[in-house]
Amino acid sequence: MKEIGREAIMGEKRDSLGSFEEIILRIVLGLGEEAYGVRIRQTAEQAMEKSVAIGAVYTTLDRLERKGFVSSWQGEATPERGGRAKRYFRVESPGIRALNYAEETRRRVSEGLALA
Amino acid sequence: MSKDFIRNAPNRAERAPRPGTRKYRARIAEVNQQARRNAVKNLDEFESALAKRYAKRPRRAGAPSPLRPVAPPARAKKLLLLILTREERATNIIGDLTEEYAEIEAEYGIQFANFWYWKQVAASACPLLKKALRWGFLASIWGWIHRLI
Repeated sequence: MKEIGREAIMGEKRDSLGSFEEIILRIVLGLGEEAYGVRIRQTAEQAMEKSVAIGAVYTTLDRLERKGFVSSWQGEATPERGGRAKRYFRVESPGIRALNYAEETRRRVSEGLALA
Repeated sequence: MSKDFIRNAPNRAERAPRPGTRKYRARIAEVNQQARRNAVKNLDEFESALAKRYAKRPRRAGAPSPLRPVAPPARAKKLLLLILTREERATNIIGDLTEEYAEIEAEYGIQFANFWYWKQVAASACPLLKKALRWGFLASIWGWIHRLI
């Protein structure tokens, strides 16, 4: 798994993950079918124990989508949303690889191994 | 014994009074009176609901009133629409904020919900504006290059 992560991710700048991006990606992965703006923002707020703006969440999700880590589709419009549609997100395989690589990197650093 | 039992049975069908008779007129009057009583009762309930809605003290908690649809602050929404460039994104963000606004309004009251909405708009303005300006800047550079070519 380590080698797959290195081969897939190393050397490509666009595949790197920022800390907030990683949090959002993990939340989307955890929420599964229920991953849309409100739930993602609320979960991020609970996890980070600070206020998270919906604009920041959507900007990050846009960036993740451009990188190919997540995909999105329009859901149903409900009356409590003022007749506006939900946008659902799903983590794609490059996103899972990027998460695995980030996890692996963290583990190697914490174990004190040389990265070279 | 058995004949009395049959005669006094509670499920024995009551004969409807014939039109024009005194019994018929009495029955009509009774039905009308009952309808009037129900109407007054409904009106009282409606007025008490209105009085609660327009009372001086704002409702702090409880379920949203059926008399008034949940509406986030219009100025905040307009500001958000000014910042958001794409129509699709505006629909998603405003929809999400509206959904959460209704939940917060039902739990903590309208004043806190309005404060929360404005806070969200202000906090969202920075990343959204940055993004919009970046794309606007890139688009303008592309325009200049296109003109030079």
